[in-house]
Amino acid sequence: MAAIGAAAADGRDRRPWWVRREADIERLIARYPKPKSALMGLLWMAQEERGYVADEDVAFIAERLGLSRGYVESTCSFYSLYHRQPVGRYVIVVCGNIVCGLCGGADLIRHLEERLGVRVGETTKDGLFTLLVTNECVAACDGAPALQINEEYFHKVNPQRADRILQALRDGADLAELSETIGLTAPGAVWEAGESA
Amino acid sequence: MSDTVTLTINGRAVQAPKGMGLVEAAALAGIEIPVFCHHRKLKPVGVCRMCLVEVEGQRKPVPACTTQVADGMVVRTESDLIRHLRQGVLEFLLLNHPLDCPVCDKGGECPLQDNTFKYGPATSRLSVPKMKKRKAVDLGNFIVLDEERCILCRRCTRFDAEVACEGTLVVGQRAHEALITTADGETYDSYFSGNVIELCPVGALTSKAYRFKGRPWDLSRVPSVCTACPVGCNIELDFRFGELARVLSRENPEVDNGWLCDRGRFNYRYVHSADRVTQPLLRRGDTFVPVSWTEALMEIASRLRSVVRDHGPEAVGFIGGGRLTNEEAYTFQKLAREAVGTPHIDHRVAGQKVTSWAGYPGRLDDIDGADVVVLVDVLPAEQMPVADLRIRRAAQRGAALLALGPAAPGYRVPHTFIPVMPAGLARFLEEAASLVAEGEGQGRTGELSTTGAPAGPGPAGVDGQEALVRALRSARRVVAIWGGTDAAVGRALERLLNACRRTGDDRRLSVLIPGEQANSRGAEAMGVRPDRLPGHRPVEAGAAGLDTAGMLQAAAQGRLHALYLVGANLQETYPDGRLVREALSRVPFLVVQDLFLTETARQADVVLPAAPFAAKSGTYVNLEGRVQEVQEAQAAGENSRTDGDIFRALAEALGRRLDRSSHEIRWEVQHLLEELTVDGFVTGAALPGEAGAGAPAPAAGTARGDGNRADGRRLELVAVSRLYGGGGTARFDPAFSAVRPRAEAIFHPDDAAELGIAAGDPVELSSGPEAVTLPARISPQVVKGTVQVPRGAEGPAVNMLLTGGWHAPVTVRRRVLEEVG
Ligand code: SF4
Ligand code: SF4
Ligand code: FES
Repeated sequence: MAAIGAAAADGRDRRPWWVRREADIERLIARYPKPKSALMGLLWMAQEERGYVADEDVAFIAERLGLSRGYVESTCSFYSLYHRQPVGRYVIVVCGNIVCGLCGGADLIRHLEERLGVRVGETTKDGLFTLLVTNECVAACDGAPALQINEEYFHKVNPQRADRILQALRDGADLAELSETIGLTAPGAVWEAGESA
Repeated sequence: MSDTVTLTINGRAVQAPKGMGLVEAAALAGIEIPVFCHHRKLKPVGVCRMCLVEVEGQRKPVPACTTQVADGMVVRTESDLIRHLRQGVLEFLLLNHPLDCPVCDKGGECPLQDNTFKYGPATSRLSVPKMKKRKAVDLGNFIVLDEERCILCRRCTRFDAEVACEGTLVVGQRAHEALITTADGETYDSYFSGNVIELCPVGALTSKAYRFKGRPWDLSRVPSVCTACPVGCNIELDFRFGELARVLSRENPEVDNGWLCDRGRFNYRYVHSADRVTQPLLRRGDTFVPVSWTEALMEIASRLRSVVRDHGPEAVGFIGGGRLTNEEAYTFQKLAREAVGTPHIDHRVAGQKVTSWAGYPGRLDDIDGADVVVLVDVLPAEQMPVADLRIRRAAQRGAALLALGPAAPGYRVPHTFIPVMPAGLARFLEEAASLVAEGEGQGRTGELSTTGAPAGPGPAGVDGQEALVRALRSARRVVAIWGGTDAAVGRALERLLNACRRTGDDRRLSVLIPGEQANSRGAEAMGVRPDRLPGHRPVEAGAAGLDTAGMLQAAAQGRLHALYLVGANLQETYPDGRLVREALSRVPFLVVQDLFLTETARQADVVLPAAPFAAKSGTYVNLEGRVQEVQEAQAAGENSRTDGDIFRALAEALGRRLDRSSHEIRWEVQHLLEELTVDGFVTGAALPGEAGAGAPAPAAGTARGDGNRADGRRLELVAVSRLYGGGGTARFDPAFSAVRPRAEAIFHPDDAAELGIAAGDPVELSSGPEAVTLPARISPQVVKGTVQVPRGAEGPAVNMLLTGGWHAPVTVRRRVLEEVG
């Protein structure tokens, strides 16, 4: 077990995040009349710290907020943007709802599976990409088919655009910039069927 | 008048109390509004939409379950629109529903079937395959979930959160992927899990024990009362072709409020266990031979007669009775006192000293209105489970819940645990009494703050006492629940309550004591006590017989020549295993009347097979003094007999009829109970030491020297009740034996660290020459300085280390591996 209170030799603080960030946690809880309300924030903090919400995070949050572990688990699993398993550096969440579905979402998912060599729910071997599909609308119907990579949106993603995005990220592009440049289309803009990389 | 409103439902004027929901108000007028998620004992959530109705003035139909009545409201429940909407809701609910009704336990008593039959479309427009989900998910000890059948009404999860106050069962995922589940790594092992089977409006939650065992229309249903603990929940016994197939709740709002615990609901297969003793057994050397009833009774009669002739009637002792009906208990003491002529009779088989208390009579529904609930050396979840639901609800709504004793109750509701070692409990209460009395003149202090976590390990400091005193000073209604194992604690508790009772005050103070067996209070009232006759009448001074400890000692010393045990597996239940062992091996003649060949029965000279509870007619007295009647639900079977019948037959074999007619005993018992009844409840007895308590039984101290080992450390052994522990009923029930607790020694982390003990290590607990080796477990819930062991667990008998009470100092030693092999 990592020694509590001590930083490791490499200078990284290896204490659990809830020890290191006690002050943040307290501040978050103090923001609400009831501690329970800090649940979403703490789940987010856990995910921020290790990329996903681990069992021990669920246990800690339950204990800290006086909730049952079941309650925490239930809330966590309700939201598709909390991950309960380790994920890759880029989490691609394709919208699986009706409008995206009608605009070629299913093809996009198949294409991504092929290109990444993983099935939905899996992570590429290099740890770069995790492919997920959400059943909930990602609120980008005007840009269907849409997907989200980490916190950035990408609209009207046809297979060619998908390839461009993957390649750019592999080449080390900045995600936010990428979203700005090729991710979003102006409302009403028509995506050219023949557009290519 | 202002408390009722008048509304119109389907053109009819309906009067309903303010605040009532529309579903209930419609029911008052005989109008059914179909529901799924709604249940009158759970908070409305409005998730299924089955109950949509039209309310004039509302733009859209509204769910009736979340709508309260209002004056002048005009409601339509049978319009074309509503019929259409109901069809739509049902079509959606059935979209992915497997419709495997032919093999579904719920088929025939299923609200989804019934509502579809009445309101639904008979066809589906779905042309693609249905969604597949898991069919038999193991949720926990007793329940299997069929995810495809679940309609996500959330009755089960709401029960777990609102009534059991545990929050283990939850909805996971969302939308069409949503399902009922628990946190990763947890299972749904609540003591109250079985209730969700009855609440589930479909066949999604099924009982492992009853699954695929019967069709509801094949069952014959008999009302009864649970005899697994002194709460006395009302139950329905469902028999299928003569076999007990399941146990359901039969709601009695004053007792069980419609709930059962899992011991009561699922521990019934023992009735049909192949291990039941089915014929009287007579010892021949080292073996038993089956004999006829006549032969067995003749043998007992002649042996008893010769004991009486040679040593006098006082050489015979009778122990047991807390599992009998009142009528049987009354007959039992008649057998002892009249047919044999001995005063030695006691129903107490597990070291309890006090079973009831007239001074501060308590009712279960006192808990509902309490603002302070004090638990004194008692674990309600283990000893009176369904009553514990009232305690949890009280704490949930803001009552202060304080637990005193050597073991934490482990609630999820807000409470304060004040660790007090058993030996210091009486003093702790005495001091609190003085503090309460001193504070009388002062104004009331503020709210007590409680926490969900135990107040920390270690002996109770001033903090704990202050918390208790502060809570009591400002309380109007106090309920104390006490384990009844130490009379000195009872007297101290009395002082505390006396201090709380101020003249001219309308405070209500009550005490509840869970008896160690289901009908302990009935047995006590029927005079199955060495110091009291039927009706709590004290015996004449100097005429008191020996209590259980006294009889065991007399037997061990060769002064008792015959012992007759009824439903009493003393080897397991009595907190002095050594004394029991000595007594049973020394006593020249031992009769055991039981369902199973328990370790105690195996030592008997004669074993008489008793019939289980379902074969009995009679009355029971529950822990609050409520008399409840049961009727025979099942024939005793060829070769077993009810305890009452056995007593009567034996008395006859001894040349004495105990009753002149079959009704006489029933009539006498009824008369006795009526005499004892105050405000509808049987009163309790006086506390030992109080006036009217009767002559005290001869002191029976069994303190033994404890050779302290040099290499060990002394800790206080605390043996705690466990709902699933003990009893032949659990051990010989194939469906239940798996959940019996395993014997283990549980340590506080600090003690474990100091002793160098890790989880799973074998540790030796010893007291004098007796030693028991158990696997260690470590839990911060255990009080520092104690080592906790479950009672009636599977494994070595820890009562070998005890000397009459449920706690004793022991020496703890970690065993090195070579020793264990
Ligand atoms: S399992 Fe039954 S009670 Fe629970 S949500 Fe599903 S249908 Fe409702
Ligand atoms: S609480 Fe007691 S009486 Fe009620 S069901 Fe459980 S064991 Fe039976
Ligand atoms: S019963 Fe009203 S919404 Fe379910």
